Amino acid sequence: MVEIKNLQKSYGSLNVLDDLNMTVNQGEIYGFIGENGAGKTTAMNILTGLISKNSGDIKINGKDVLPGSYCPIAYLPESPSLLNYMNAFEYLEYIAVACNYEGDLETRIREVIHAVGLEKAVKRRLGGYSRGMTQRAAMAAVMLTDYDLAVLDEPTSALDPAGRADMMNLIKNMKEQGKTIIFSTHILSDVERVADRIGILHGGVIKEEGSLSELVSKYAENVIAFELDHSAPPLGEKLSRCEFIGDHRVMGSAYFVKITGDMAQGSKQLFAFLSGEQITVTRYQHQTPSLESIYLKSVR
Amino acid sequence: MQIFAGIKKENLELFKTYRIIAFVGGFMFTAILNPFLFWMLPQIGAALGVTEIALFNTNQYTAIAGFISDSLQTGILVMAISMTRAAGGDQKNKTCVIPLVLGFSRKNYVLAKFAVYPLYAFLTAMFSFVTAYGISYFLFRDKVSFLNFFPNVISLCVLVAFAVILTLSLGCMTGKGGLSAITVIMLFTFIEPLLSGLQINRYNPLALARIAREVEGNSGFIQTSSGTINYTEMSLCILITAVISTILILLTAYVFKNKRIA
Repeated sequence: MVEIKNLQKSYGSLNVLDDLNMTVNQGEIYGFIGENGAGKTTAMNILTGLISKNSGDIKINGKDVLPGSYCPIAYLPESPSLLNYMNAFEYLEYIAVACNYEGDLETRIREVIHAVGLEKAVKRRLGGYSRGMTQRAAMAAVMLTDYDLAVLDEPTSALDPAGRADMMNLIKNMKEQGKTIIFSTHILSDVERVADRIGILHGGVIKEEGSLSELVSKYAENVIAFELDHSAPPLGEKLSRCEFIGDHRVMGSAYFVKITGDMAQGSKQLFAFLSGEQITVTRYQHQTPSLESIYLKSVR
Repeated sequence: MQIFAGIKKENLELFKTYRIIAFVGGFMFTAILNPFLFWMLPQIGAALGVTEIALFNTNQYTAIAGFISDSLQTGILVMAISMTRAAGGDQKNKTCVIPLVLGFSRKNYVLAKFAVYPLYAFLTAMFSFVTAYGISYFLFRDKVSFLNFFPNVISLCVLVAFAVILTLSLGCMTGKGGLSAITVIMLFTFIEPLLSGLQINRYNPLALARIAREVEGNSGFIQTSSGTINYTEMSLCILITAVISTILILLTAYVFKNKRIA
């Protein structure tokens, strides 16, 4: 669907994108994360044809993207600017006609207005909208047209928790309709919740790319956490004598042990060891790295 | 049709933001004020005890000449300022981003502006002239036929439409509406009077300003020329203006198509 190869963009001496390579498959949600200034918005602006690249190739469905060229892309900017003198209905009508929407215009506008939850504000001037409402109205414009690819730049940044959940549901619905979605955000839990694949952008290059499970297995540290009953004797010394345990930390009654070698085998051995000690284990779980820790490790 | 969506948007912008008031305001102000001002001049002169000098010999010719002269400065100045947002504001505040990415062709986006504003400018100049003529017709005893001013009015209207095309063109190409307005104001406030004063303002769009001011029969306050219009020159100037305007519009569409918007 989207293929970016060796994309480079600089502003003067500042290299914003440096050999960016990424692939987004048809029908998937691609979570694009990276620190401020990493180049996410620049990459999205080039992808949508708003700005030109220095070099590299961008292809959407095999076609080159050039500034000013029309691609079936729906784009939600980070801080969308709408025509404040119009109301939501007028604005969506303008977008639909301007973008050659074919179909029952009024019904479609009512549908997207309902989908973003702006029914009560549809006749209010957009200039009187809060930032969250503006984001919703812009999202309605995005959903209005017939597109294959949606590029959403921080779609949840201005929304309250309920609004964020609604937006995530909208994104999931878009995927269910077969759309391909690229979205950037700083809210990593949103990415964990909906993204099929994730790209971590740092210093103008993709540092990591893959599904959450692929990234988790890559960054997994074979750590098992368990907690003992308060009456249990300390196990620290015995644990350090176990060959399958590389390292361990104790925090009160909680133990974090790092397994050396095969995780499944080590886990069995640890379980057998704890059973042998005849102590009560109140909690036992494999520690999987969060996206936040994966992100921090990949960019440092 | 995309262009109709753009035309509707520009109209809504003009009227819903009340920018239309500023757009026509400068012209209407001069159209209403000038006839009264010239009508009152002899009375002011009499009150001051001065009756002989030409300054106070006013008639409908001088009133219309005064209106045209002021329109070319105040009218165009206010109009250009009122257009800064239409010319470059939507690029600066990024309101054009969503429609352009969603599929509104850049060519149609700018052409819609050129379809709306020059037409309004032309009509504004025409309507303000009709207003000035109507008021002066009732105020002055010696009535002058409307047709006497025809070449002046046409020159004025074409020139105002050109000024608007220039403002839009510069604004859309640079994304700086303020800069385009300042350029146009400088052109009409300093360059045109300078060229006309040096008598080298010929066969270009700005020469229409000189032609517009050449009101036949004007012998009073606003005497700036002989008052004899060269119709061949006027026709050529209008043709040249039309050609330059077309080139500007095409150039703007080309530059805007390849322009960085975000």
